[in-house]
Amino acid sequence: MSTLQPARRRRRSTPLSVWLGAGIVAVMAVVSATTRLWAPYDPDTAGVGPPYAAPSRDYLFGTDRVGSDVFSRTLSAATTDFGITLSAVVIAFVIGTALGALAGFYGGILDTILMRLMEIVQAFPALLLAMLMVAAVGSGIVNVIVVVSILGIPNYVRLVRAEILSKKNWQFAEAAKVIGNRPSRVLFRHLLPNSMRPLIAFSSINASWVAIIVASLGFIGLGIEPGSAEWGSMISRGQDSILSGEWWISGFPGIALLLLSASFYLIGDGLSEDSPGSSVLSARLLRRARRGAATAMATAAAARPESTPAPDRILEVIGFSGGFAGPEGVRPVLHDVSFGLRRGVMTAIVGETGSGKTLSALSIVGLAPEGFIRTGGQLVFDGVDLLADEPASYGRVRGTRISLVFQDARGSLNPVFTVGNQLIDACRANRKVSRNEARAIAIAMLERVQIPEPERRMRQYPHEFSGGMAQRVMLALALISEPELLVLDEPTTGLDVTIQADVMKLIVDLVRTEGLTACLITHDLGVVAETCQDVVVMRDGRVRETGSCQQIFTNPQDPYTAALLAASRLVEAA
Amino acid sequence: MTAIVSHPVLHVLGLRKEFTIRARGHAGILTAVDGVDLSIAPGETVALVGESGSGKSTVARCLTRLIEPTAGSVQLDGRTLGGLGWKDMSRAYKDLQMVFQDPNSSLNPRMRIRDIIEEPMRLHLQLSAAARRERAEELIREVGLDPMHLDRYPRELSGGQRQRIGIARALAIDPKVIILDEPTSSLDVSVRGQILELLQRIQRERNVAYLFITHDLQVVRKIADRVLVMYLGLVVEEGTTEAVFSAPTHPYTRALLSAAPVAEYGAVKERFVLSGEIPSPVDLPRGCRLAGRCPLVQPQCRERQPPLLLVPQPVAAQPPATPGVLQQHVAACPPAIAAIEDNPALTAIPPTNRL
Ligand SMILES: Nc1ncnc2c1ncn2[C@@H]1O[C@H](COP(=O)(O)OP(=O)(O)OP(=O)(O)O)[C@@H](O)[C@H]1O
Ligand code: SF4
Ligand SMILES: [Mg+2]
Repeated sequence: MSTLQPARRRRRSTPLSVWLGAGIVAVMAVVSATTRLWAPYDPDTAGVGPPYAAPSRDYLFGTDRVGSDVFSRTLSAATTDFGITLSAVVIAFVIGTALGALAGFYGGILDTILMRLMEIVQAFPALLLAMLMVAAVGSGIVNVIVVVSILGIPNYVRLVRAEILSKKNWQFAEAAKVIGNRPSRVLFRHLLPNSMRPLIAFSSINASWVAIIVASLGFIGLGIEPGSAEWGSMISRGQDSILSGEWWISGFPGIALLLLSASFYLIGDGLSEDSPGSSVLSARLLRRARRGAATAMATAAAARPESTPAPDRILEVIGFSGGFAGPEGVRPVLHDVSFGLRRGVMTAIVGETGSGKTLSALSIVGLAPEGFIRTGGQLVFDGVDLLADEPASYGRVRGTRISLVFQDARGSLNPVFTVGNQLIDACRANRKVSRNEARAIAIAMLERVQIPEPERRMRQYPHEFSGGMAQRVMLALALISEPELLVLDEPTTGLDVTIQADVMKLIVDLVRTEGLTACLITHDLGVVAETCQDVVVMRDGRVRETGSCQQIFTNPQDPYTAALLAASRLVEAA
Repeated sequence: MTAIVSHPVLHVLGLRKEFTIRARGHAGILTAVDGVDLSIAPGETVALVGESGSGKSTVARCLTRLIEPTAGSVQLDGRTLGGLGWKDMSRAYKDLQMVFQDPNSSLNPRMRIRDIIEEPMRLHLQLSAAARRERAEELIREVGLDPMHLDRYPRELSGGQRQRIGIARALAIDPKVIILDEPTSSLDVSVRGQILELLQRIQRERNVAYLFITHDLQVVRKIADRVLVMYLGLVVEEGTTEAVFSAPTHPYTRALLSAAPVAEYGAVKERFVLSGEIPSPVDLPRGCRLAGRCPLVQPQCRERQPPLLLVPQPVAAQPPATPGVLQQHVAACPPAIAAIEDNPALTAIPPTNRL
């Protein structure tokens, strides 16, 4: 389908290791399926050559004690080992996935029983359990396959169960139910296909492990029938000869086993790194993009005239550009963003989702997300270019002179420490005070953000706070270092409407009484009209317009600003 | 105002949902929805407003049986939906569809748009593949997209386009009621207006009823015929959009209305601000649930749950009495009502009057 092409290409590239592993596995698969074509001698016949012959043209891998050809036997064993590994993985995959899916989806008693069972199986070391089980049921290919699959099942059950549990309440699963799908169809048609990727990665890792277990069983003589060609038992039978110098009898099957196991591991490891949802490209791509950005930046810097920041501005963002690594270098997201923040003034950055507001704000505090690459620009804070000697410059100002309040307060507070501890730590990190003094400051700060019973609240954990209260704590945390610039990224968006008004009022009061400079990122023009003096309008990573609040609202210059205003008024007037 | 006919297409009585929650050792009962009555006439739009945690989404999820309600009865087009297995429920979905909040996650990322729209048809309508195909094309045009989008995957569409697909999927089997759970809250302002207009147009053409769940009062004003305001699991005010917006009575409604800022320079509104915290739904106060934050609080407010009382209206504004459907403006706040008209003879509406 042609419309699909661009999307397919946009997906991150698969790591090289995956291809390498897959290549080796594929070659081994072909070889083990066609052993007879390659083996120069009958692998099970003794005396095809002299005993203990060293590797030579006639006997590529040498011969063993009874004069069988080690090369032919190693090849023939590949069929056995590969076959057992593959069957065991497929069986474990199918049964484990089905059980895990049912347990995760239906929950209840089935889930409880299944998970207990799995815990019991996993309580024993796998190899030990494998030995006991094979000893109990007897050796033989089928028994080995059954035992090894049983050992693998719990992993699949757990993995799939976790995947399904995490996706069960995804809206597409609920939507599938509401359009009238029967539950099993919701599970197998909608949920499972979206949970496959980590499973495929895991089954490769599982295969690598299964190959080793199978060989280990053979090694201790518990595998398939003694005497038949199998890497584990070959290694075992050749081990005495190693001391007398005939290393090849164990050596070649050992190498083969390692190769198989390692290849599977490479595939699994590569795939799991390359997990879905993350748009992080391979390190190679990132490096290449960075290098490109550095050259571009040098050229741009040479061309740019020296700019002198206006003195009444505490922060000046000049020509800030950047983006994320893509297959064709940097995919730009911010384009030549310039604006200033006047001292003691609350400036709003407005724009719709994806306009780059958050990214601009995070860059100001030096917290741009992993993978963001700056391609140019300056951030002048109080006369100092913060980007000149990153990250040291940020260490000096972030958290002390610039503070940040995130949208999701509860998510940004540390859940394992009490609110008091977090406040005290933040205070002591920035001011030279004793713990007791810091404690007093923290309590006073909680009072300032209007949290009732601050002393009791100090001992509580973030999850014990309601959304509005948590946002107040976040505010206290941001203010405790006595910053000059406060960056607020949608500080009330997650809150209830009637709470929002309350928190916003508090923020405005604090900013006014403390004489702070604030930068408020929001998509709500109503809030802007009531609280801010200056406005920066952004769209698609570009600054469309800057100006005073009055000018923007009464006489917008940019058609986009006008449209934005019209849209918000349309809804209001309706 | 829309004409309201006497037979509601969706009729809910005493809907209740309790969750058992375990927090630090001990279990508690969280009452998310505490006896909600609600009825919707064919072709009507009823908005359910309230803040996050007030229980509006729980109402939606109970109605669609994404969760099992603890108590209450639901009648869809005269049929009672109590205790249905998935087979009956699946048949009920023929008349009751839902549009979800987040268009980015409500479409299966591994299915083509065509399959997403055709799936409900496959399940409910006996149509040939060609007929389904044709219908999918009609639907996608109806929601304002080009049929070429049918062969794409959700990730290749923008948020607004995805929400249109969500609407097309809900429309595919021509339901009588669509529940919309914050369908525009994850969209940009500019797209929001378009989606609302699309929904209004569809309603005019198909006479489908909407239960519109939102916290955005501007949206309510634009789209709803009637409004129910929820606070902590209870309906605290109900009436026509006009009545509730022109004469908000319950202090919570007033705060909600005055909290919405106006995008106008210098337009500083006089605010009706509630201070203090929302009580935990696990440990609700005995009386009015707003008592802790309410500036009008009276001692008797804390004693028992205030009932929904008729809000006195100027005689001229009294809506014509339509038998069968509650159109009156009611609010669960005796002091506020007493203040409107210094009339102590307030009567609670007996439940029998409520349909
Ligand atoms: N980690 C990331 N990897 C790739 N792209 C990203 C990443 N973070 C942000 N972007 C892209 O950068 C652009 C700007 O994102 P940003 O979050 O700054 O916008 P925003 O205006 O704040 O949006 P919202 O209103 O949703 O918060 C978007 O196009 C987004 O897709
Ligand atoms: S009943 Fe009392 S406490 Fe409740 S909203 Fe009315 S005045 Fe306030
Ligand atoms: Mg943002």
